[in-house]
Amino acid sequence: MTSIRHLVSIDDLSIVEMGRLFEQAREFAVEPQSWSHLCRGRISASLFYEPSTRTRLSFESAMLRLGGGVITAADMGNSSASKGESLADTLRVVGGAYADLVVLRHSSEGAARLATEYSSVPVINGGDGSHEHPTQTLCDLYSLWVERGRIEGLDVVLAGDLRYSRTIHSFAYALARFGANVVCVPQPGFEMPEYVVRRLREEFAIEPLRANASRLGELAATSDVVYLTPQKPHQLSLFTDAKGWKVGRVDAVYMTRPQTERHPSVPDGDTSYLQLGKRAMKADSLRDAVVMHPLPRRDEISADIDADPRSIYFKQAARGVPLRMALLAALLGEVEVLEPAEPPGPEVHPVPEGANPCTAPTCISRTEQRHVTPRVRFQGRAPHRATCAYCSNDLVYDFVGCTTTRHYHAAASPAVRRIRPDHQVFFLDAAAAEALGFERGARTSPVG
Amino acid sequence: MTNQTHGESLLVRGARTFPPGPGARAVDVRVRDGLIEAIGAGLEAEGAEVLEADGLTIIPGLVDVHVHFRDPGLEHKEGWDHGSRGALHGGVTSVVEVQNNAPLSISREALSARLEHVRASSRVDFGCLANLLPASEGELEAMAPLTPAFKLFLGGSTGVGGQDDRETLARLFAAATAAGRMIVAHCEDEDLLREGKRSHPAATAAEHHLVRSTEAEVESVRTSIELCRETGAELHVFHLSTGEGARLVAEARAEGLSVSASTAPHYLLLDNERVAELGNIGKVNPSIKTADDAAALVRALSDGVVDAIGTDHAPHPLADKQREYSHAPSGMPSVDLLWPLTWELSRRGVMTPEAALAAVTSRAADTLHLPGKGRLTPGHDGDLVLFDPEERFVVRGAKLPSRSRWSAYEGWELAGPPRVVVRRGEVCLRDGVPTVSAGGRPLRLHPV
Repeated sequence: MTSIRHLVSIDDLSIVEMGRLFEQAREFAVEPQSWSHLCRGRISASLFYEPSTRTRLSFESAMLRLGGGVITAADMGNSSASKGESLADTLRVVGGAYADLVVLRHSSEGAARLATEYSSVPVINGGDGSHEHPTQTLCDLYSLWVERGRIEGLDVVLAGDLRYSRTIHSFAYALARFGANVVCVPQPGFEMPEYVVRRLREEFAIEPLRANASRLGELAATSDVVYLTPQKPHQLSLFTDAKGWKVGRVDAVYMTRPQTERHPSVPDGDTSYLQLGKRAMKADSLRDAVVMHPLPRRDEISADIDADPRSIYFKQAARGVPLRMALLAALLGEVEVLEPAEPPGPEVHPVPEGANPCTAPTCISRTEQRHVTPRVRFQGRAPHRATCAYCSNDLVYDFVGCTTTRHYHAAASPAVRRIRPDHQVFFLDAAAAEALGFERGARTSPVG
Repeated sequence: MTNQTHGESLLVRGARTFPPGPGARAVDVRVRDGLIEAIGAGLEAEGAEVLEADGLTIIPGLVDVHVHFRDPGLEHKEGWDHGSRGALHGGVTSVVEVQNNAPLSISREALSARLEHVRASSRVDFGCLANLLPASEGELEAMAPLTPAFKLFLGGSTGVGGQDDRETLARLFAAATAAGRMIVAHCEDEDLLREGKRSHPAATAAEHHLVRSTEAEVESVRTSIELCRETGAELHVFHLSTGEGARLVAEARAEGLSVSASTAPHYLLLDNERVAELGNIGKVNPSIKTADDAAALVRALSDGVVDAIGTDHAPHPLADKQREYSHAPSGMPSVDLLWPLTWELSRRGVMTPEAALAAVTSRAADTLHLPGKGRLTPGHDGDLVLFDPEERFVVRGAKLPSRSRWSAYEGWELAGPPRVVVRRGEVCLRDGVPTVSAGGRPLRLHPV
């Protein structure tokens, strides 16, 4: 394992490391001006293939606070990329000679993962398409941790568009990892997707419970509220009646932004989106709840609660700088936060032969023309499940072949479980397998 | 066709009425020789084959007013085998097809040959539009009985150049009217398209809406409406992409002109910011405009200004789409998803279920004057779709029947995939799998 650490996904950090990171960020936050000795002489490069001014400024401010320098390509999409330079070659040059750390923003899912394969310095994912934006999630977690002193056991309301916002999905997974409970208050029609709930169930043993949200008041008046908790039924029995789990005092409300294109008939000023205002904040359950929002907001949080001490969204945005300072200093090895190796995760292997099994049209493994080796992450044997190691989308396949026996089997067949992961080839249909010279395996034959 | 029956006999038993919800009732539908004979509870089979609907919701088969199956000529991009399988998968039992590659339908001979060719391999009923070009002017009367409408490109798009000479256009409008069929138009102004190209020499997909601008569509819609006023032609504007275009159509109608319009799912569900993320996947003509345009088009559909949703299904191999912007072809597949995408508008609460359904059934059939289609009414064709409104699925382009095997909606969780599709009393698709290999017939047309 290489000793360079990267931050591509929130899963690249262990819970313990995140805890240390938050402690470090809180230390930096006391007097951010007094750390300019820490990373003197170090340079971070901002490689932005699509614009995101706020993310970029926050990183650059953090690096400058640490006494380092920044070099910036804010419009990579229209510079070397349009001349046809591959991401791999750009990283070989920038992430070696020019800079000691790279912050990458790209429109293709998996770009940051690809960058780590070619960079000799740490890479931070500043957002890769609709895939991950781990520093955003870290900032949200950090803010919650600062306000509440812990994350485990908190009751956090996620409200609004829970369907399309990947930021919200990442946040929900992270909360589950920390052992927090999630109260889903969706905009009707924008409920948490089934695949998110399924992953929460499979990885964190979380069962969705219907909830009685009368004490959430106006905020939940039109929603079917669902409670996601890792707690066991006997721990919940006191709070559950015929109408479901009774929502009591919650610790935080995280409002989401309606994404314009997802809400086509909601023109300005005529919003039917959930709104948090003075009246809604009077609800009994929200008495001690902090209000969070990723900003920029539209009308989902009305200005009449900006002065409410529970509204922390501006503080939340400001905390992005000390958190990113901690992350930069940690990845550059200037503070002791990270272990030498990433926490263990599922096996990743290059695809041994055949076509790229990733079918997502905007994944970096499809959009990048050169220097990409398709890779697969093995998520489970029974049921057999594999994802693209770049964009994390489920691979779509009906058959799996073995490169040593040259046999292929239906994906659900027990024979597949006996194929070594690095020998597996994925086929959309039988014709694709036959085209590569694979033969249909016998139902019972042992497979190596 | 006179000496064969119109179709099969079938009793669909135990379906539920649309829209789903507390008001839905159990219903049976009996089709006799291809035509709906009776609708009600507790119908007898009276010799018809029986299909148990098990509580699935029943709607009429969808009418897609605009597809490109590229066959004959460019079968490697789609073909009627894949195309009509895709149609069934999307709940579509009737398509209106536009040939925009050679051989164009510019003579009765060419059009007849195309109809015969399509008949051999289409699983769905079909109408083939004749091309309205100076070269076809002398053949319009001869072609009129065989086509629902004449297709005119005011702006050049994939495969066909645009007509920009005002006098020629006036002549073509008059000739089509004299031949007794309506004009369906691709409205983008050639001069403004050229201007857009000139002023954005380094454009990428993110700027496609500036290259093929709002003004280009609006100017062209305005010209077309003027020509209707001058010549008395009946006009249907295909794939409207702007709110302003819809406003002009509304004005023209208020004035008493015979002007109607349709739009496509991508103009309702995507916007230019999403196209920036999708890259050339989101490159279509006309371009996808802003979120405000999407909102205006949804309203126009609800208000009855825009009549129908047609997919403008325009498949290309992914490799073609991955060329750089200026060389990547325009168009995206979506006929495979027409019902789930339409149902999505209702699920989001931006359209009533009834209005969403009408846009792909009754109003779609009415706007192009297609008798016998798009209604669950005795005497109409026995085209039926059964679906579970709560069944959710994640879009995986590689699993769709369209030959292009990618989708701009990759990863979206949609609902209501058609489970059973019936065409004139014959079950053509069950659980996503086609059960017929052909059998589609030319759509009935009103006499000229």
